[in-house]
Amino acid sequence: MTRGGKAVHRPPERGWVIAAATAGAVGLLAAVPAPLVPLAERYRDLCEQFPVLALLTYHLPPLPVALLSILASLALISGVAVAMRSLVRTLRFNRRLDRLADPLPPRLVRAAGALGLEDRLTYLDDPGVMACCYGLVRPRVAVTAELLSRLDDQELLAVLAHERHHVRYRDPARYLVIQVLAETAFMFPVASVLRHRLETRVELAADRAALAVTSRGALAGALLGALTGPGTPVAGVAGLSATEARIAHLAGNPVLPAVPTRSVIASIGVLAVIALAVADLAASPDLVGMMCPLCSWIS
Amino acid sequence: MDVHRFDLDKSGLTRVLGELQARIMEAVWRLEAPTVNDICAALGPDVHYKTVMTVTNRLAEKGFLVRERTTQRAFVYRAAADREAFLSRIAASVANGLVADFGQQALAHLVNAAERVDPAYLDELERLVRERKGGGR
Repeated sequence: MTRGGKAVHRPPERGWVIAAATAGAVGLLAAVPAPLVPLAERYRDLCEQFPVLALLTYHLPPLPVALLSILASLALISGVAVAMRSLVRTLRFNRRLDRLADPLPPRLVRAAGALGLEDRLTYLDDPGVMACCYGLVRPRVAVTAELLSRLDDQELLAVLAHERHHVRYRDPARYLVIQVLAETAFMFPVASVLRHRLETRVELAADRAALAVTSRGALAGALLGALTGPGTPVAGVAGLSATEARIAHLAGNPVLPAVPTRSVIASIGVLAVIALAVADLAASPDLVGMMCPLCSWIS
Repeated sequence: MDVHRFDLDKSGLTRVLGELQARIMEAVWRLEAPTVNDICAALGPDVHYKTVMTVTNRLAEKGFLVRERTTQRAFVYRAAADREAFLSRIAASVANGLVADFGQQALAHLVNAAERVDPAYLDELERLVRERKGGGR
């Protein structure tokens, strides 16, 4: 079930601005490479000290290496910053969830027992509607009282089987890795689209695991129970969400969030600007004047 | 009136409000339409008038209180929601508020509340549920 075949996930506006800014800055550095010179000189000095470095960078002249180093550093800093922030938030969230835990009701224990999940459950006597898999090393499944009251036994089984799949594959950790990788590639708009697509695939795999132990209708009932609570998601305008893709699969119309052509073109554009800048800097008269020590020794 | 913070180490009103804010809200609920002077009298001698006035106005700015001018050129404050409704709102939000409070963290939701779902997809889900309940598994 796509919306007129136009079910696409659009990267946020920020992504387009960053892509344009990256392409602009790289183009500017290719035209006026003076700011790269100090780093290029440092690289040349390092190559003289450790000739193997010149071999490892394919004898690329210092200026393009300086440009690529800056871009790689930005990507690394972005990835590490997101990893740290997300890790701290996740650990605090997990601790708080554990602290909120209430004794498991017998109905939940029975359902979890059928799936071998009884030692991985957290129950929250809470009127909010929530079920999730949390925990990076030894994941657990959290279920609230309100969600439990909305589900019949088959629907509860569907929820637990879905979450058991997340537990088995340590999906919270997998989501963290996907998030960090997407942030590392922040210069390319297609990264956020691919992340959304990948996360949707993970959810679809968990749904397939649920369908192995229960019916389509039971899983649909579980999703409906979770979707019609306070804070109910509203009509979307930004492409196919993961939940919509899951509903489409349940309805027998498999579809994944599409990768919009314009985000692919924009990403290829950024890559092309970087490649052109590197080629231009490599071909231009070398401001730093490096000769690879190994090459000069061979010649 | 939006609740933006949750302190799960605390209980009741102090989960979403500061200590003094919670005491002021309790006083307003009890007195119904008090002035700042009335609130001060209700809170006792350990609070300063100016502090109470500042915090009360802040609660009004956040939408927790409604400020009304009286004929005596003083303001009275009313609660935007009654106590039970406010508390149930806090209670309802703890699990979801926890998720919102920590922003994006690594966990797999059954359904991500931040996601948008087209009503057509909800209709599709309802159809599947009806089918199941009609025909059994």
